[in-house]
Amino acid sequence: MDFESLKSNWEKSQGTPKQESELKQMTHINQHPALKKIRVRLILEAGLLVFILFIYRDWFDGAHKPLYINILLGISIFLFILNDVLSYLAIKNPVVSGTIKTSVEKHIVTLRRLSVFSLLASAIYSAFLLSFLTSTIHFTTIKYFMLAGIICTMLILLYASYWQWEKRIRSFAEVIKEFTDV
Amino acid sequence: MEKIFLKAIHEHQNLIYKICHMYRDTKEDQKDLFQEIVFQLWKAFPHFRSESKITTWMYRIALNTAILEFRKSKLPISYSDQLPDQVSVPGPVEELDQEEQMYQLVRCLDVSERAILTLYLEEYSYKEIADITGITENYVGVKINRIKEKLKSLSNR
Repeated sequence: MDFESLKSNWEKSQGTPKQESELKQMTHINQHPALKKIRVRLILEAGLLVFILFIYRDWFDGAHKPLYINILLGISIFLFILNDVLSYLAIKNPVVSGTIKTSVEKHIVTLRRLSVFSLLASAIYSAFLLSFLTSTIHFTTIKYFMLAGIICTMLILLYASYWQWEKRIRSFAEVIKEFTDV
Repeated sequence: MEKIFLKAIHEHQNLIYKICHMYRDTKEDQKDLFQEIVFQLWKAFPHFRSESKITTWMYRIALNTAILEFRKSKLPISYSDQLPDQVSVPGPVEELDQEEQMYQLVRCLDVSERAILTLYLEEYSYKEIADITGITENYVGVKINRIKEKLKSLSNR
């Protein structure tokens, strides 16, 4: 296909026109394809964590554990939910003003901040949850090994999350490179 | 305000359709991106000051949205100066209509090249393309020449 044919195909290209009523529907947040899924996940996660906060005193002997451990667990759950909300807001409000190059640059900064916060929130949550669950345990060698296994699994999961964030940020950095004069 | 917005989008919805086809290859992804673009346009509409044409504003938001949305990883494509003797084109291209062939071809371009090509095909000047994308006017010229070369090489395969 030469450039002239491409241009003429471009001019002819058109989809089935959508009615104004259909377009109006698309302006509602409920119709947003990605946000719908994220919102459901956010509600489920937040619901589960709040549920844990309510039952941990009875089910996990929260009342018999040191006060500071209880406070730390509360803080970590709050940070985890806050991280979900911040991610949701960032996806809902991407930078779509200015030139394409500056938008992508600002988006990278946002993603970088989100990735740091997300990884910290996950690390703090994991650490505090583990501290909470193990604070009254009398450790034996086998239990130490089990704890080491759990910590290793947590570190691997954190690294996988870091790798995912980096991959995503790198893909946008590539776009910046494409828009840079050489 | 909603009425004015919907009328404008209804009139120029074809540009959203084209961008969705340029940046997404499955019907489902194209449909999702279309919705995402309309949503972002609606959110940005109160800030539209009529300093530029409505289509220029739409292109700016639509291209930004298409690029900033999470990109699915694609297979790396390498280009060489010499064309191989035989190259198999992925998929039953012969069965596709001209329009889909065109979109398959342009989807082989880089993200920035697709944005520049879109604006060039819509007959925006080099200066306007530079203003929308954020690259210099000179570089727009260089990029367009490269895009034409790349398209020629790709369509000869």
